[in-house]
Amino acid sequence: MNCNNYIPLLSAHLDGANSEIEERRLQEHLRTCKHCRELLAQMERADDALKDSAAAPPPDLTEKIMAQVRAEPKKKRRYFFPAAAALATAAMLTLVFSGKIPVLDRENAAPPVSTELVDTVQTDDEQTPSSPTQTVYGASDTEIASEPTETVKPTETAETTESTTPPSESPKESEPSSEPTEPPTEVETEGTTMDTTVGTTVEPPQTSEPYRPTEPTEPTEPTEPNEGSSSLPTFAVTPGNAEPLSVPYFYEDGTIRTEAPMLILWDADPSELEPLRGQEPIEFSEEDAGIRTPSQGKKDETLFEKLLSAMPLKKKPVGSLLPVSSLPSLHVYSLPYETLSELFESCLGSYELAVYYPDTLNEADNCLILLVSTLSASSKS
Amino acid sequence: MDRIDEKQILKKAAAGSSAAFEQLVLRYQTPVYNLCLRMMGNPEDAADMAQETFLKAWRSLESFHFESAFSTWLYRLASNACLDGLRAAKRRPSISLVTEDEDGDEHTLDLPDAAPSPEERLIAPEEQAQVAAAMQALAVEQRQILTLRVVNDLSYTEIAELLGVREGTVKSRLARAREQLRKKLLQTGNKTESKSSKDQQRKGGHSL
Repeated sequence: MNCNNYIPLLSAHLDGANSEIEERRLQEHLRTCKHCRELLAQMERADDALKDSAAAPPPDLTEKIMAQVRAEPKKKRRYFFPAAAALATAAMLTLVFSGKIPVLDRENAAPPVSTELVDTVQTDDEQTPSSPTQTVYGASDTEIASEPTETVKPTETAETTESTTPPSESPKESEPSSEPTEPPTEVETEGTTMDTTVGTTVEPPQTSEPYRPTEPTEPTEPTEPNEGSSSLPTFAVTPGNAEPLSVPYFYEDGTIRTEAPMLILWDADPSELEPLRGQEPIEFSEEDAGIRTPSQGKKDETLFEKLLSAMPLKKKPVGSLLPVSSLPSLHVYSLPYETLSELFESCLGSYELAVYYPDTLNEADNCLILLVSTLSASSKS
Repeated sequence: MDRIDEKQILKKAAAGSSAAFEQLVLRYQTPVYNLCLRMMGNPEDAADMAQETFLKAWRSLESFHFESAFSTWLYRLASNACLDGLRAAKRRPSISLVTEDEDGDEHTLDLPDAAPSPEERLIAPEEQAQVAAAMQALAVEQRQILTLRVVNDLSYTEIAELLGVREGTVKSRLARAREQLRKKLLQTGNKTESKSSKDQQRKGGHSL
């Protein structure tokens, strides 16, 4: 047999890929053919030289790759939540809002808009009982608009929890919904429908088509809360064409315009949050934040006062405003999106969270506000 | 990182976690880079193709459904990126190295020597340089299959899946590639390193 016919067997021998018969045939041939023994040795040396010549990648390759990755439009996030049994302490806060959960879509980016605080009353009318640790603040007999793309189902991991509990009878905080505030005149108002959820369940969108934000709509009209229920504020956040890490601007009417992902630590200790190491909070005055004194009327209720209403820190008489001195600690950070994501994941199960997404995109990172609190369901009374 | 860990990391990355994706990059950057290096023939293009590979992986991670090993899927992306890169390089018009002066006399552009400098030759083992030169003398498909098997240690099954061929085809292609590499290595000589495609554009060098 021609030695060339043994070349495939020689090569496969190096990979241990010959069948038993083929290997036996090869070994028999090698016993008598010096040329093929030499061929095998040369192939072996070539293999070794090739392995040894494997190069290390440039030291900055990972950095360059990740810079490109981070510059990409953000993907629709699907959160993995810890199992209900693993939630040891604070209840997972579920604030459900109207509108769709946006899929990042650059092409439909809306021009910059300020945030608007829109009082709507919405809950998921399909909530099912699940984890006893789940709470919907202030929600009772209310309904939410449900859209196919915003429904969530548990993921397949063991880390997911079931859907939200049905709205509970909560202490009445029946402040009438305020009128939606007018956006500042210098800012276009479009696409203010906001989409936020901090659900304990997440599911991929039910449609295979990427979600595209709806056409810009007027802010949702506030609805009268049902008797005995409280309104949950809905925050509309749309990023501007942002410098990353720009300082959020607090308007007089209590709305927030933020051009970068923002963290609001509500009565939570920043020193306990690892991702915040080295981060500096934003300096702002109480005036900037629109935190008003109790002497001012409820009509001028600011964003943070509305937050207070939505997330009661302590029992307060209906209709009263908390004095400034009793307000919880407030730390505001402007953070890169990745830090915020990291923070979100590390806070799961230990903090109460509310996440606010914009429903449109621009060139900057997807802007969101993350609200973190140490409140637990038991602190509500 | 075992298979189960990698699956969890992949899920997180597919969900948008760049931190999880970075773990994958750190794990696979060396074999991906080496595959690109052998296919493209120079470190600069290899780094570009490696970046492109990972960026493509990031963008299409949600389409990875664990039907094959992630590594197989990634190497396929890398191979395709390199093949596209090589095809694009071939399509670039070559620029003449010869110019004419005012008198109509032809002169050849004086290009910097792209051969390894004396310092580089002293630093780089001679054998490594010979292997690199020998590999560059092979067809790109042979460079590809040799790197996948010998350097990246993929099995015949994985290579077959990656290339979309039968295992018997992998076996015979590998044999031919090894035979060619063996022959090239036996030839001695000073082969210069192949210029990066960018250098060739800038300097008006020949196309690949």
